[in-house]
Amino acid sequence: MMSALQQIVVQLSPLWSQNYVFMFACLIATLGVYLLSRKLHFWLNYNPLLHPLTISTLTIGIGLHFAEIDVMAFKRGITLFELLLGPATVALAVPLYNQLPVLRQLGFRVLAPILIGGSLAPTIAWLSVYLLETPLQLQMTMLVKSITTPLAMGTADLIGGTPELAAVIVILTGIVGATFGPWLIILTKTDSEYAQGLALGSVAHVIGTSKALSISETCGAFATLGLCLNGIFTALLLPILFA
Amino acid sequence: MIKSSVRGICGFAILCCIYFISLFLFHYFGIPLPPALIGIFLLLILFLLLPKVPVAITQSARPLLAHMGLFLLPALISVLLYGDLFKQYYVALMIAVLLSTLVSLGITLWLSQRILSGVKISSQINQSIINECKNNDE
Repeated sequence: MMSALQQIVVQLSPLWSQNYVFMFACLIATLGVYLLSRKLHFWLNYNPLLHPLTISTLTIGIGLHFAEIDVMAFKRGITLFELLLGPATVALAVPLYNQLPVLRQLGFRVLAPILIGGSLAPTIAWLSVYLLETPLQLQMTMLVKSITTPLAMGTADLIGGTPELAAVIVILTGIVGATFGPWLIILTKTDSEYAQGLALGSVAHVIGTSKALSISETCGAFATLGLCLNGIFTALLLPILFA
Repeated sequence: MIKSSVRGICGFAILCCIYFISLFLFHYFGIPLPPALIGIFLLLILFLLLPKVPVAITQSARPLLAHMGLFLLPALISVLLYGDLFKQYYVALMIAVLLSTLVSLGITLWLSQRILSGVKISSQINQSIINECKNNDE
């Protein structure tokens, strides 16, 4: 009991065990960069290649390099944001609960595309990194590539991958999926909004879901369902198989 | 205005509590699942048990989900620490990401079109999911 509580306290400890001025400076700088890059994304018509997360990561990375601030120290400074990821991920239960009636009505016809997309993507990704002879750590990280980032990080941690790498790979996957999604939809002549949404959500998670929302609201709703269910299935299965 | 922000804060507190409970369960019982996933299940069970979904939780979930990106930044920034690994394997990474995403998205689209063409959900359900969807757009 005590050791479990201790471990939680260790996770929270950066909040009070550092220079507050530095911490607030880091938090405000990160918030500012994030809000600006969101605005920029909005001005550029939501081009998935210029996703706010890529812009902000690059900006902060370059900024840290020139200001000669240690990355570790900066990361400690923005621990608050890292901790908020937990409750934010728990909040995913809300959209999932709202989509349950669809699952109840369509049943397996909704599950099948999600299972196909959710198992194909990691298999192909793992095969290609395996054939290209990368270290095991990278291969494990690749398995979580198509689920929503917070769950991907937690799962990567459990199966011997690297959470931070997982975050980057997941975001890249989303960007690729959302960029080429509309072309693939035309190429495969997919005219069912449900199919489009489920495929985008289960392969390209949140970034794919934003794309789906720009196609239609129904499409976005199905993408949300695909994103939530694929996240849950993958995060359930992988630790059982590999942990 | 005040009422809704109080509600939002209450909902946020509930979400935090659920997350801490799941962190505790994760460490205490050594459950091999990401703590956040345990939290999702707990909240889902709570929703299914309650007669009506508490507005406080849905209200605070909205901004949290919409700004998930901000909470991901710490992880993305710490990738700078793995620069060496990236430099060494970025070709393999890019090939794997591009190939797997394009191929699996294509196949999934094609197959789900076969499964779902002509399928329609009832307009009542459609209306309710669309209304929900408008609120969490990222």
